[in-house]
Amino acid sequence: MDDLFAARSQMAISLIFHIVFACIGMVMPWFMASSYYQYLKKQDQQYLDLTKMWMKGVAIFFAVGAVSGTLISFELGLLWPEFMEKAGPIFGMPFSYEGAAFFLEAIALGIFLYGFGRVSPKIHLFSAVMVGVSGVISGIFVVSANAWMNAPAGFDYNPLTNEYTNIDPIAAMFNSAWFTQSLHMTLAAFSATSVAVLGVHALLILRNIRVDFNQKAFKIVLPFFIVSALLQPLSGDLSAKDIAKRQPEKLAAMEAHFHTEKAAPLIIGGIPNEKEERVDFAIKLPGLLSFLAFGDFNAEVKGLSDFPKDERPPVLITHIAFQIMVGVGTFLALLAMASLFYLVRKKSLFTSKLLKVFVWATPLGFIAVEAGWIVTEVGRQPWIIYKVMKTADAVTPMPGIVYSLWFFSLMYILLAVVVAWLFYRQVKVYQRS
Amino acid sequence: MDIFIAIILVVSAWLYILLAGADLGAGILERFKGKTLKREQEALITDAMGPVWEANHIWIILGVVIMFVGFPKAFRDLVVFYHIPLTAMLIGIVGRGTAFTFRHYDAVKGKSQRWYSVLFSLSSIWTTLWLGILAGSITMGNIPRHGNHFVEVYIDPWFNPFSFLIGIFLCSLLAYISATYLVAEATTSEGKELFKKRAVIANIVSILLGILVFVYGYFSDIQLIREFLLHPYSMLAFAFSSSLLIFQWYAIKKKQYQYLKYLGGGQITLILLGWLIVQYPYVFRWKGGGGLMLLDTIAPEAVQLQLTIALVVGLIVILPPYLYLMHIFKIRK
Repeated sequence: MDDLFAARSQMAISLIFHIVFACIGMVMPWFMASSYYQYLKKQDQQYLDLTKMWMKGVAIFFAVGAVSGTLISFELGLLWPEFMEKAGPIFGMPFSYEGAAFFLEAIALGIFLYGFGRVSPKIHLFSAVMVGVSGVISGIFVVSANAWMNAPAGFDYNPLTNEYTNIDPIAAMFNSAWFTQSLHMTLAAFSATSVAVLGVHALLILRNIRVDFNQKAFKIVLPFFIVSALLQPLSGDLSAKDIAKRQPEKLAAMEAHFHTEKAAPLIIGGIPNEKEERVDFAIKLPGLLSFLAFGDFNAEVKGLSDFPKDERPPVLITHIAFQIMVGVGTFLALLAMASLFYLVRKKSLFTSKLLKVFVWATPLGFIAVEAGWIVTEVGRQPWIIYKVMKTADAVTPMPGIVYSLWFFSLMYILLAVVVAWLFYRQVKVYQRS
Repeated sequence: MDIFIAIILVVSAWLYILLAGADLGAGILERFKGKTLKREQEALITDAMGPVWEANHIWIILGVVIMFVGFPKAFRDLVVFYHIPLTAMLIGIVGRGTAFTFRHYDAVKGKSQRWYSVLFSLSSIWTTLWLGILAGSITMGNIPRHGNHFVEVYIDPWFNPFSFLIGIFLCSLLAYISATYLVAEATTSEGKELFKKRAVIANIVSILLGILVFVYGYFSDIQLIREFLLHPYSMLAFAFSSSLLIFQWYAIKKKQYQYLKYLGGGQITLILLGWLIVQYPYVFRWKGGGGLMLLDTIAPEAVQLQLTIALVVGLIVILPPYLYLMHIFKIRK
C-alpha cells in the first residue's frame, strides 16, 4: 500500500468514526433540553430521569467526539501538510469560528452536567439549550470549510508559480457550496440521530419495558425526526442541482452517467463498469436525471467520458454510496410521512406496526450519513481542492503512513466496541430501574 | 496585528499547560495514589476535573487553528517534522479523555472501573511525556534542513536523552501543579494531608529534575540552555520563579493551600517565560544554525485581519461563560 492510499484511508476512517459522534453530540442535547424543559414545567420525575439518561449519553458521545475531533484537527496537518499550508489561511475562518462555538459547547455542557443544584433552573435549562445551539453552529462552520474544498473561492491561483494570492477569507467561508452542504448535513444529523434514538425507545416499548417512560421519550424525539426527514429530500434536491452546475463530474460519478446526452436517464441500482463505460443490471428512468439536475426533461447532462481520465472520480464507490444515501433518505421520508399521518389522525403510534419499522430503522440514518460523506469526498477525487490541488500533491513527505493507518484503525475499532458496550450497559441498567 | 496573533497563540499554549496541564497532572497523581483513600482520591479528581476538563482541553485546538490560519508555513513544518511525537501525544489524549469519561458515566460500576483508571493514569503520563518530548526537541531544534534519511529527519530530533528528560520533568511539574489544585479542593483533613504529601514529593522531584535539565543541557551543548543561562532576562525570570518556591514552602507549612496553586502557576509561567525569551523569534532551529522564524511565516494581511476579528469575537463570546464555569465549580466551592 502506498503512502497516499494509506493517508486517504486513515483520514476516511477517522472521519467515518468522528461523524457519528459529532452528529449525536450536536443533536441529542436538543432532546435533553426538551425533556428538561418538560420536567421544569410539569415537575414529573420521569422527565428528569429521561433528561439524566440522555445526558449521560450526551456526555459519553460528546467526549469521544471531542477527542476524535482533536485528532482530526491535527491529522489534517499530519497527513496533508502541503494542503494545510496553502489552504489554512484561506479556509481557516470557519475553523476559527467553529473552535469558538465548540468551546462554548464544552462550557455549556460542563455547566449542565454538573450544575444540578448548583445553578438556578433557568440558567441550567439555558445551558442545555446552549449545548445544542453551539453544537449546530459549530457543525455548520466545519461543513462550510469542507464546502470550500468542493467550491474553492476567495483567492487567485497561479498554476505556473503555485501561488495563492488575493486571499479573501470571508469569500472563502461563504463559498457557493456552504449553504446547501451545511443545510443537508444539519438535517442529516437530526434525522439520523433522532431515528436512532426513536428506534431504541421503540424496542423498549415493544418489549414492555418502562412503557410510559419510553413513550414520553418517543414523543419528545418524534417531531425532530418528522421535520428533518421530510425536509431532507428537498435539501438533497437543492444539493444535486448545485452539484450539477458546479461539479458535473461528481454528479456523473454519483449517477454512473458515462456519456453526455440529452434527456439523460436516472440510473437506479446497477454495477458501473468503469473500463467499458457502462452500467450493468440497472433500472433506467428516461429523462429523469435531466429533470432532477436541471429542471428540464430534455436538458443535456455531461457524462464522465467528457472529462480526462485522470480527472474522473472513482465511479463504483461513489455510485453505490449515492444509491444507499438516496434510498435510505427516501425510506426515512416515507416513515416520517406515515408517522405524521398517525399523528394527524390522532391514532396511537404505539400500538401500530410502525413501531417495529422504527426498530429496524435504528442504524439507517447513520448509514446514510456515512454514505453521503463518501459521495462528497470520493466524488471530489482526484482533487483535494477542486480543480486547484490534487490529493496526491497534498500528502505528507514522511514515509511509512501505512503503520500509522493500522494503528489508528485498531484504536478506532477498539473505541467503537467499547462505546457500543457502554451504550448497551446504559440501556440495560435503565430497563431495570 | 501579527504580534497580537502571536501573543494569543502563546497565551493559549500557556493556558493549556496551566489548566489542561493540571488535568494531566491529576491523571499522573492517580498512578501514585498509594494504598490509602484510593476511592476518595479518585472521587476528588473526578469532581475537580469533570466540569472543566473539556473546556480546558480546547485551548490546544485554539492553538492549532491559530497556527494553521496565521502561520501556515510554521504549522506545515511542525506537523511534518514532529509527526511521530505529535501522533503519540494525540493517542494519549484520546486514551485519557475517553477513559475518564467512561469511568464516570459507565452505568455499571464494576471491575471495569479499574481498567478505566489504569488507562486514564497511564495515558495521562504518556500524553505529558510526549508533550515534554515535543517541547524538549523543539528546544534542541535539531531539524536537518535538507535531510533525506528517515531516521535523521523524523527520529533523531526527538529520540534523545534531553527530550525524554524534559518529558519526565514536565510530568513531575504538572503532577505538582495538580497537587496544589487538589490540596485546596480536598474536603477532608486526611485528603488535604495526602495531597500535601504528594505536592511536597512532586515539588522535590521537579526541582531535582529541573537542575538535571540545566546541568545536562549545559554539558551536552544544547544551545538554547546555554543561551538561557547567559540571557539576563531569562535568568531574571528563572530567579523570580525560584524565589516563588520559598513562598510555596511557606504556604505549605502554614497550610494556606488556597494560595498555593497561584504561586505554583506563577512559577510555571515564569519558567515558560524564560524559555520563550530565548526561543523567540524561532519556532524551532535548524541543525547547523539559523531557524524558522515565527513571524516570517505570517499569513497575508487580509487573513491576519479576519483572524484578529475572529479571535476578538471568540474571546468576547467565550471568556464570560468560561469565567462563569470556573466561578461555579472552582471558586464558589
